[in-house]
Formats: sequence, C-alpha cells, structure tokens
Amino acid sequence: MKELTINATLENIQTVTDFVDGQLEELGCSMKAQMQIDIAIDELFGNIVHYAYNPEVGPVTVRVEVTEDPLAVSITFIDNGVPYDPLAKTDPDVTLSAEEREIGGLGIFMVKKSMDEISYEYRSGQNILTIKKNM
Amino acid sequence: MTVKLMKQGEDAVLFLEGRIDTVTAPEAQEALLPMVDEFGKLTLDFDKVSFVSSAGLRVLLMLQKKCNAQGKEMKLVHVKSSIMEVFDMTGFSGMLNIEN
Repeated sequence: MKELTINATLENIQTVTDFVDGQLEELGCSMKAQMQIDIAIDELFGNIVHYAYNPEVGPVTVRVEVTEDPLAVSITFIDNGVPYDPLAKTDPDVTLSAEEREIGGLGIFMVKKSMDEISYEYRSGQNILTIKKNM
Repeated sequence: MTVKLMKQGEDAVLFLEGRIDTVTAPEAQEALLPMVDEFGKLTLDFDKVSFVSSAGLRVLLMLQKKCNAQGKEMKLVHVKSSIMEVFDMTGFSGMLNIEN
C-alpha cells in the first residue's frame, strides 16, 4: 500500500496522476486501463477541489492498494470536507443529441462504467471514495 | 493545452495539443468558443490530444451546441483510439461529427 497526502488544488491533479501511474506501470497495467483510471482521478480529485472544500483548501489522502488473485488496484480518496456523494447523481442519457443534452454529469458516469467497483461513505467527518479496477 | 489556428478562407482548422482536463478545460473553452462566431466551418484536429476527461467533453458539447445554434458545421479529425473509447462510452461518437 502506498499513500500520498496533498492539498486539494487543481494543480495537484497532475501530481496525483503521476503518483498513481507510477504504481500502475510497475504492475504492467494496460494503457486503456491507465487512461480510465487517469480520467477517474481527474474527476474525483477535481470534485474534492470544487465541492468538498471550495473556497478553502484542505488535504486529500490518496491510497493505492494492490490485491492479487485476481490482480486488482484500489484507489481511495479521503478528504475532510463537506459531505459530497458523487454517486448520488443520476446517470445522464448518453443517447441524446447535442441540443437535448445537459452540460455535466458525464464524469462520474464514466467512472462508474469503466471501474469494476466504486463505493462512497461519509465516516468520522471524512468523505471516503474507493474505486477498484481489475487488471 | 495549446490551440493553433490555421485560417482557410471563412473556415478554421484548430490544432489542439496536450490534455483537455479539469485544469485546462477553462482555457480551452475560452480559446475555442469565440471561434464559432468568427468562422464558418470548424475543424478540430485531435492528432496531438493525449487525454480528454469529462471536463473536456463538456467543452466539446458547448462548442457543438453553439455551432448548432448558429447553423455551423464542426468536425473532429485524427482522433486517437484511446480517445475514441471515451467518445464511445459517453455517446459522443454518435453526437459529434468525427472523421478519421
């Protein structure tokens, strides 16, 4: 298990992405799965910056755990901000035309579709969101 | 993320490069949306785009909506397969005009 605690700022999305990608590369993760995980980091860390803390800045802990048989990676985001459950959003209708579509809601939808598991809980004043991807 | 503009008469080809994500989407939006007013047809060259997250999709949707409202044409060219997967997953491949 490896952990990184960092301030919730947009600039730090790249630092978190590099931290996670470094471990994915060690595991021989496919480019496709890596991009899906990078999209999830952009969405989930971005949500913490915008919704859990904004306008103040607080810490986020990003924990990467590898489990075997089957090989899988779990990434947990923990923050001390206001309760924010991204899974509560209803999925957008992805069959609509541009005019009919609303702007937004696609990020968490992509995370749900591309990860094998996703869970959220608010416990002891912390938002705890975990995604799991089978390798 | 950078945008390079090549004028072709009334039309424009926009060469995008880098990541279109939560950090860069605001600048992409600021650079691209005014192009709809300024030009006829817009071609977005995605050859050097390495990554598109939902924030990038939002900018593309805004652009497409604005083009439709003004009766203008927009198309994407040279989209990498990894980014096509993102478009396929979100139904953008059916919504946008993509030529590869």
